[in-house]
Amino acid sequence: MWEDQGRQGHGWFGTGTSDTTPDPGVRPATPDDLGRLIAQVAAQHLPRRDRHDFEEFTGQDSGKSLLEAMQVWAEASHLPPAAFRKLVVGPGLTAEGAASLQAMARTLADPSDPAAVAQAGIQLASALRTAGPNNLGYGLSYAQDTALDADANGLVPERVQVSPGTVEVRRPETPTASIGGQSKVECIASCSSYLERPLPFPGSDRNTWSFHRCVSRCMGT
Amino acid sequence: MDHKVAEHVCRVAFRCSRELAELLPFAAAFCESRDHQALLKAVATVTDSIRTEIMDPLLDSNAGLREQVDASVETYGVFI
Repeated sequence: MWEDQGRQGHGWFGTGTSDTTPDPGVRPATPDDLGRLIAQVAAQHLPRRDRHDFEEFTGQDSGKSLLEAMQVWAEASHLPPAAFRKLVVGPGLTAEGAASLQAMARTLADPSDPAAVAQAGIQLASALRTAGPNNLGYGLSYAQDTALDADANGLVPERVQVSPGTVEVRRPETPTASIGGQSKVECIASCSSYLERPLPFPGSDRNTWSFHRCVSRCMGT
Repeated sequence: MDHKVAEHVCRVAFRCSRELAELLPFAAAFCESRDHQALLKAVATVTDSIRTEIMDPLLDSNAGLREQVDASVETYGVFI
């Protein structure tokens, strides 16, 4: 305890800092902190019925996945809109929704203006509303899985800060670079979450088809 | 195989996969986590076998059928 207050072993006061405790006054908020803030704002801008679904979604394990997906959307935010939707959003949200999600992702990628975080939350809520009535869980989980799948398969072009003020976009050298080499059992296991996503309507083939495509991609076939 | 027959086989393959997948939320609600995970693994394995043993040979041997399925599922959420 006294070490965390910055005291030295003999009890004298030291520098006032600890190497185990982040100093919020100096260090910037983490991307996950920003993601949580954005999700909180988004929840406040959803209709009550959707808000309940969203809060339930983010309160479970999927909440962590949402934060991970947010990072992927941020990394891909420099892509052209059509490529962004196809690669990291999927058809669960409309083109308009994907555009709102991309606007949110740009804010998350470059959160220089604190006020923009609130705007990003509104943009996320706007994106989710395009999933349609009673379909927020489907639209969100589809977009989230698409993002995580693209990331796991190394399909998202990387933005690298090569020097202060200079950002370079590095495309994957081979789109399937990280795909090959996995066993079929591993591919089936990593893609099985597609079978558990909420469906847009009973009887939809979307999860089965997404699962098939995921395994094919994973196997490099 | 005749294209129409291949379409029908694909629809039945989708239906079988879908019915198996419908067990998963049921298992999540009523089974222990370990049993649910075991069923998820089993359903995923069988669904993949349906892909490799039934659907892929048809989609590979019937020109345009894969694109037809892809477009239909993308647009309508179901192979019609």
